[in-house]
Amino acid sequence: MTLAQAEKGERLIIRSIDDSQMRMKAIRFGVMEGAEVICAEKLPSGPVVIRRGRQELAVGRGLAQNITVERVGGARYRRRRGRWCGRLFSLSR
Amino acid sequence: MVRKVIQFVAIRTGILLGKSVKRMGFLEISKSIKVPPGAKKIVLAGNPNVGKSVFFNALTNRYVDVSNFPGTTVDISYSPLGNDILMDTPGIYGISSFNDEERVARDVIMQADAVINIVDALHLERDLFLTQHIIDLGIPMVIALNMMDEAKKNGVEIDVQVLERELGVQVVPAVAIEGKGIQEVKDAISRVRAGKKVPQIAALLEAVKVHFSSPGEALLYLEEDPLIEVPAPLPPKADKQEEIYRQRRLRVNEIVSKVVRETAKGASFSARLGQLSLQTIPGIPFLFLSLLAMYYFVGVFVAQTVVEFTEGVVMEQYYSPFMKNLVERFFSPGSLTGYILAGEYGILTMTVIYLLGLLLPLVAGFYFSLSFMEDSGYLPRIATLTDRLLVKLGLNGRAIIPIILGLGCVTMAAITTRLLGSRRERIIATALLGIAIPCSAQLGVIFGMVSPLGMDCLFLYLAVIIGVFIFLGMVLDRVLPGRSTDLLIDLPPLRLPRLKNVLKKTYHRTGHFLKEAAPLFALGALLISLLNISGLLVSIQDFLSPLISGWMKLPREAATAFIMGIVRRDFGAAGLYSLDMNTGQTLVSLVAITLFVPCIASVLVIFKERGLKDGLLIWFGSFFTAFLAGGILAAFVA
Repeated sequence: MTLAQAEKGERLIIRSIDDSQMRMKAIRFGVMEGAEVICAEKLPSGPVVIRRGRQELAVGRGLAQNITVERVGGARYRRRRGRWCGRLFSLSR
Repeated sequence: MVRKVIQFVAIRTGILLGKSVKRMGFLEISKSIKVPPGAKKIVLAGNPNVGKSVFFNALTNRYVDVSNFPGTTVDISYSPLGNDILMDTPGIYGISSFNDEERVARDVIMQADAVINIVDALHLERDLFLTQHIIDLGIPMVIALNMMDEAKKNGVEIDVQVLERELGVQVVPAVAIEGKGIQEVKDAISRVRAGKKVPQIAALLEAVKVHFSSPGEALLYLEEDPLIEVPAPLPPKADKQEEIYRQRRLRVNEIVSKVVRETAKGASFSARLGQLSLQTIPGIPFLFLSLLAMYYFVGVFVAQTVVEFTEGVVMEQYYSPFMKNLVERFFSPGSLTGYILAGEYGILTMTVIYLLGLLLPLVAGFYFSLSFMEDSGYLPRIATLTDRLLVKLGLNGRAIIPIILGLGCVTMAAITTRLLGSRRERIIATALLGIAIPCSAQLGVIFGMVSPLGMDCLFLYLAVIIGVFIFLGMVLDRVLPGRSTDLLIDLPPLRLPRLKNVLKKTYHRTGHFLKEAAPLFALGALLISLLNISGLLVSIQDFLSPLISGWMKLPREAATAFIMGIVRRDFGAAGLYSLDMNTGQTLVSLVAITLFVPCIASVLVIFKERGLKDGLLIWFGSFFTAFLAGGILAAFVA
């Protein structure tokens, strides 16, 4: 699957990045083949935000389609919980 | 004398010289920065937003000079530090040549006698990649481990001794904004040393280093930096970049796992806030609110209240009469020199009034907002939120910055298109700015004229302009060859900016803008004065009138407004005020003047940034778009 198909909250392993210049740039942020990342946010038909440790990266949808990933698990249950009030609640906690 | 002035302006603006000089090898620092004999070049380096400028200011305090690097558009601050010289560099994530900032930083770092590497303690994994990169170049360095307080607050513990041992250079913990660690860093400069290279990279270097004058150059050859001249016996492409980057990343991850201990549980408040800022529901409304706040600050408070005072009172009441009197003492107002200096478009009157009375407060206001957003870490989030829309126009989220700035001042925004990833994107963004984005000075006049016509007209006006903006972007995306770059942007944590830092940035950027725009403005005023005196202005007016009255069904005199619009679009818009037009005609004229050519200063900046050919295309394109859209609209409403 590609990063563009990942869903919020999923843990992923990067398998390949199909753009050599972007591959170099991503390595500098700690994202390369074999690295485990979390899909932290996915904007509707927009960029995918991935997180690795404290590093957050926004990846444009076009580039995300050129990144192959493998799902290793993730908090799928969180998908339904993302309503606005719920978020405010978790913010105040 | 006039010839000398023109020559000076031309050289200053780089118009006649053609900016696209291909560079081979490094730019000598000493050519742009005065390095006294015997002084060591000490260079500050680090990722963006890690506090480099705070260190620079704390280490030096005074005598800061700013130098522009020829052939690029990046400025380097430098200042004496004891007998040596301290240089600041743009924030980068590694040493390479992905963009102008990186090229300049690379050139400066490569020629450094010592590097002070500022590292954000909270983001060691990201920052140490640059650190290890500088170490691999073999440049003696010391590390200032900044923001130790924030790391502690976030439950990140760093074993400084182990970090020193692993990297082989001294590491000084610091909290620069509180002044902690500054003196220790200063003392450590004398103890800089070359650190431990990544063993695999050192082995690769061993094989080729005899061919190069320094290990640094050998490394850049292996990393396929395009500016390195390859010595004859070596293959032109080393094909080692990926391997080296990978080894360096693995080594950095290894170091981080040895020195960082996380004791935090759960995400911090700032991390949650950052997450919310990207979600559609609180994110998009919040984006609108912050843009609205910015609009009220710049568009209402600065553009009206402040400018009322600076232009209306200081300039018109005091400066202008004073200057006119002064010039009249030496030249009669009817003479050529008198007219050029203090006439309708006088270099000493109009140029100065608009530059200092109108533009200076507006630009400062905009740069203040921009610096505030930049330091807060919100800017990359805006880019992320707007990316999906801008992709359709052949841009990516980064382009939102020049677009927002363009609503303030197109001249200033045209300069910031430099931050875009490819030439294609820079052309699209510049064309959109030049054609479909009205600047704040113009917006004021336009809203003043369109509001009395009623809400429906306001919406129709906005719909046409936004429609043209989107259409133009999509067309350019289709027509221009090549591919635009995708968004890949670091999202730093949100934090409250330091006012002092924001003000300092505002001050430097505004000063830089004035330096860049002032000669162009003067040149523009001179051109228009000459056109006016020679009678060419009237000829153009006659030439344009069939288009104005025939095609767009406007009164014949509206041509004058468009001629004025060549100088400044808001002049043009203001020129429409006095005309007797019905509602339809007013709407047509406003749409046309909005899409019309940007002010002469913007045009000259566009020529300088994009070159004569693209510049002319954009300039004539805006004539075409303005009259085409005006004529089509006229067929419906006039």
